[in-house]
Amino acid sequence: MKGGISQGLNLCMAGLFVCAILSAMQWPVHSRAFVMAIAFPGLLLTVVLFVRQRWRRGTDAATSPGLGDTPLDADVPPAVARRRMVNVFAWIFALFALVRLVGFEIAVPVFTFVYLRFQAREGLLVSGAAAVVMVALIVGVFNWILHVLWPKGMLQGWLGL
Amino acid sequence: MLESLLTALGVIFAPYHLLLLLLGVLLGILLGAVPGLGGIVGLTVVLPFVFELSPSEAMVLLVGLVAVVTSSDSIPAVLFAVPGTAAAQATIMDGHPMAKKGEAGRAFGAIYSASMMGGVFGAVALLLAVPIMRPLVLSVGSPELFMLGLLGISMVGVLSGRAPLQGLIAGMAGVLASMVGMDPQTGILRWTFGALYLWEGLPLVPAVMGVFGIPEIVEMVIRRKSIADVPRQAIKGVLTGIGDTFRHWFLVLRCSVLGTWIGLIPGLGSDVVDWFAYGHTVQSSRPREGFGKGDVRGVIGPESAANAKLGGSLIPTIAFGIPGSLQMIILLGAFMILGLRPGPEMLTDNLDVTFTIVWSLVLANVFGTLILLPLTGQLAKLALVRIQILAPVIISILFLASFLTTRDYGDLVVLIGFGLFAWVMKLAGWPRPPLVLGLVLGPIIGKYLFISTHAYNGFGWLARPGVILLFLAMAASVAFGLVREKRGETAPETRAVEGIGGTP
Repeated sequence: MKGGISQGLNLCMAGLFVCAILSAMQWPVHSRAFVMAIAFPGLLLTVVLFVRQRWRRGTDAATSPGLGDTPLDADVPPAVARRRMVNVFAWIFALFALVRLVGFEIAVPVFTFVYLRFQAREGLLVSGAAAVVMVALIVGVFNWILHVLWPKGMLQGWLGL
Repeated sequence: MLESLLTALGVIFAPYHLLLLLLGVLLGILLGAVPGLGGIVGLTVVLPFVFELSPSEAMVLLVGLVAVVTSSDSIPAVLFAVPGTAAAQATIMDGHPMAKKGEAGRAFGAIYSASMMGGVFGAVALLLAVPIMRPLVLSVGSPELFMLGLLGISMVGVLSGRAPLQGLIAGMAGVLASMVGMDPQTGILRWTFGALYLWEGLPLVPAVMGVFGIPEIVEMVIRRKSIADVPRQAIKGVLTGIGDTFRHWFLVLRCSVLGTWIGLIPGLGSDVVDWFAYGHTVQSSRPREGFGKGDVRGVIGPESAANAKLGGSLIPTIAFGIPGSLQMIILLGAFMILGLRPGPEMLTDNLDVTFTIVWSLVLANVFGTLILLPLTGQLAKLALVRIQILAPVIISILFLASFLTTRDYGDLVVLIGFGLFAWVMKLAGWPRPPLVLGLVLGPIIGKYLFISTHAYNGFGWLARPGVILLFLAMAASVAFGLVREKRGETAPETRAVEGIGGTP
């Protein structure tokens, strides 16, 4: 599986270098030169890697456990690992959406509480305490001490608050 | 001169000065430990109060603050793989794996003691160098800065472990990503896709947090364990870490020299110092198979260099009024507010202030270490808290810290985008550090290559002695590594620093 991901990533990198070269062709020579000096060798290296991966596919898989094996190793079944991975990224995107909607000051404590209460299945006390700590961080450290003003969310904008 | 030095020592030990120094140190520790803040935020917060202080009081407060930021920024780096400031990026490489092995206490012990030694070295360098440093600083021009960037890129091989080809590709992708935004030379907009946010380029802090922080938190949530895999009894003592630093004193010395030197050169910035030191540590150490998997030398080198850098960067700021970083620009602003003029006056009329700065640097590093060391045991216990409890807090801090970079929602997009990309890299077994190295060094290389070729109307700058010297250093460094590998000093199956930045 790792070999497939690696090849896919290599193809993406090749695509990136090609796009960089094509777009840079329309630029003045001074802007173009540095891009070309990086993208052309980069593209060449992706080709070399592609050939090597095709040539040595069997040995690569056997001898290179790689950085990414931990989540999918024997400790956690692959299906569970995939489900948890999707789950955690869903929480990250949810926080992003919440921040845009209601702003940091509300989103972060709410996210912390909801995650701990419903995802981690912690008690009300732990979940509430963690949310309070986050409020203290945002209001106490950032707002009061450092005078950081967090932008309001879209919801406050719609409601004219 | 000796009399002024002793007078400054007497001044700094006055109760009010000590109080201000402690205040600065405590603020610096807090700012370093919270990702996204750092010394620049601290200086801007404190700057308005400088009006009320005398020059020596103000310097004690300001230097105390900035001196320890690079010590406490390793706390989130070691525990959560989230760098407190840009100067703690490389500390993640071995610091976080150490925390996973239950050696967070040892890592912190080594980090704080190495930071203190590096900081004191930087102060001594400042003391000795101010009167004689002018020719050296002025001899470093754009061609030498370009070569230094290349020297940094040559470390991609070291940071790629068993996958050098993937590392090179990732490094080049990082350099390309660093080109996003308006070309400072021609004004062309490069890959901004109509977004005003991208005109200034991709911000480094959210990108680095995405590359290291997001994949680590995702992995830990998948495994559903605490950060440390081992039980509480396995948390090694802080004293072991301190002992490690003393055992590797020569590494501390070398990296302190490196840090001071990088700080001395305006234009390189603090983002590169720890990578240079880490690359040097890996290249010059044997055996190397432990790097990336929790080798204590991997935290000692970068941390001593990061703290030594401040002393180095103060040299051109004080002696010539040339600030090498945003932090130094703000400090220079404080000089102006206080009526101090950088240059010869700082070595004659205001020599006492210069020496107060030196002593502040020494004492701040000592105080910082003395304050942080007792906290280490408690901090290390964080590694044993279930990740399900820590996860929402860490994710929230990643968001808050990223947003503080430019205060634009684009920072969050960069964080998540780089996080997803780095997660795929982690799954595919591609090394992530070269991507960050490319991002950090890309602008330096591009800028100084352009200036050099324009200033010399071609490539005549290649004949400069400094350029030749740096080229030889780069070639020697690469050749040294190749020869060592050829000799089989490390076995092929174990030589890789494959686990760098990830879990072994």
